[in-house]
Amino acid sequence: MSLDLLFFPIALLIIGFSVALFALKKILRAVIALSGAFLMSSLFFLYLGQTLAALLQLFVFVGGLPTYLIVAVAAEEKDKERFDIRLFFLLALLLSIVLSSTFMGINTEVTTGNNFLALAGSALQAYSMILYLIVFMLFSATIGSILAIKKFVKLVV
Amino acid sequence: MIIGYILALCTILISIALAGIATDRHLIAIMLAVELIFLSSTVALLTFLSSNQNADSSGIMLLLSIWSVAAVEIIALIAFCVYIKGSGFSFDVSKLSKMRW
Repeated sequence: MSLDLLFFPIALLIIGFSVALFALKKILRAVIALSGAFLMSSLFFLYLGQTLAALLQLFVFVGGLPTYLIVAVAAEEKDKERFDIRLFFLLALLLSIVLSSTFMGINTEVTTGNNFLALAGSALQAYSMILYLIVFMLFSATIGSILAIKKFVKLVV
Repeated sequence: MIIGYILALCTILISIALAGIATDRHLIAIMLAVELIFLSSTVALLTFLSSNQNADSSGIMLLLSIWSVAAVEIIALIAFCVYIKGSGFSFDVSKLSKMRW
């Protein structure tokens, strides 16, 4: 079985989880569907040969963020309001056709992969300030969110 | 690895996310759709970076930026969740109308 054939089941699963995100009525299940999409994308990165990216995606987007999301939405008892799912599928199909026209003329050549993240190594040192800025932004957003919640909502412990 | 198929996957993901943003009224579902857009852009970026014969680290900063913005968006979503639940507002965006013109 050619390695290229592995792409199709992974892609179908990613698309399936993405559709399930909107089709499921309970928002908690929608969050789990998003986690499934992230997990499949992690597998896809592995298929591309980017092992470090796959691990980062797994640790952060599958293990970290959905944990907080699930805790945050777990107490939501009300189901989603009903929306027209036929309109959703029609719109998704139309957008797929329209947006596909942007890369119609592209050469669909088969290329070999490289593990660019493993080669990043010492080159990241040149970007250390930007990395610190990103970390600071993340930390500020977290602290700011917590302070905003404490100011406007009385939390009953 | 055929880039056209991978781009088609990214296009389909973005289309699904945009359709969800346009049709769904639940705030959390809309923000999860934005996460889906981040995911598709990450897949496209990683595809182009890994197919580059002359491997370098110039794209890694863009990749890390996308990941960090997606993570911050989740944090903001959790904050919105707690605030809206605590204030008794609805998650239906059509009912969040106080800032309407």
